Amino acid sequence: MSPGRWRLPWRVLVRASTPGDRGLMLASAVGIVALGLLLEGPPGSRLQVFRDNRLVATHALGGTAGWSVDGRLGPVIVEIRQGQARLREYRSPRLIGTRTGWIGRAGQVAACVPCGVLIRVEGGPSPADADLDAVSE
Amino acid sequence: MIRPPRSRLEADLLAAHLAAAGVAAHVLEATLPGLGPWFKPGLANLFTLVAFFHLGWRTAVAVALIRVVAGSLTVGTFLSPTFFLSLSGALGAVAAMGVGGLLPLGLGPVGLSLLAALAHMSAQVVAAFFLILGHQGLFLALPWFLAGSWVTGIVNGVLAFLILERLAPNQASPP
Repeated sequence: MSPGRWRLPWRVLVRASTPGDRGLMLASAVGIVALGLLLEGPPGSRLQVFRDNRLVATHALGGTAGWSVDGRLGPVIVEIRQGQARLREYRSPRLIGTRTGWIGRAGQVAACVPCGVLIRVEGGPSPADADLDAVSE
Repeated sequence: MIRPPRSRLEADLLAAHLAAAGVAAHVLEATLPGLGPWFKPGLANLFTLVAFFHLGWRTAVAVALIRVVAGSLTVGTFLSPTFFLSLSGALGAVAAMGVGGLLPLGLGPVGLSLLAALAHMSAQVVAAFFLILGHQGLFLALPWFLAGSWVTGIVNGVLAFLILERLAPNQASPP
């Protein structure tokens, strides 16, 4: 898009906003970026799978794996590949967990809230370090 | 050009129109393909914001509640987890509008829309934590959700400003 095409939306934004609005836009943008940087972790080593806040499986992030978890709305597929993990659900309204895509940094989560399924990447020693590929309940 | 309401009946009719528009936006958003995992247009809140500026906070609360209940009945999610997430988000948004309108920050439609969008998303994440998922890891995704809300809040604020200009010229300021 050429610079000229941005002029109209920019002018409308300037006309529509007060100095207080613009201050809030700036302050909230800085706050969101700071919060994101604060919560970003190092590369993860293992994946935890929760069903209704109950840990149902822990798996090393190395290698390739895939399995199904019984969600409230049906099966939710958890996949691990090349140090990253993702979940795939089919029946939730917005598919937020699926569209989150691959996650691989410590602390990152992907959740299907209506399904009650959440996966979380953890740092620290993986189950593989203890000669285990996975631990499930 | 639409005149500002001159009577109680006219104000009620305008509130009903805004609630109906909110329900339509709610249903439309439920059927639209997603624009990204953390991104939802939030057009339904736009009409709550217009109600707040044009008819006051109480009417905005009514418009939000009608939109959530009628919208969820229409798309078949009434009393489901999705309904409670919508309800908590809508209540968070109108609470933020009420508080933001009282603060001496000189916030207009854009600022209040941004505040409402951020409150909407935060309330939904808190509700998801307490009512459904119960895992603290959910809060780690909050910056991504808030980034999406930041964009939609500003866009909807500009749209609300343009609607308010048509409804009542020179009245696009907190009631």
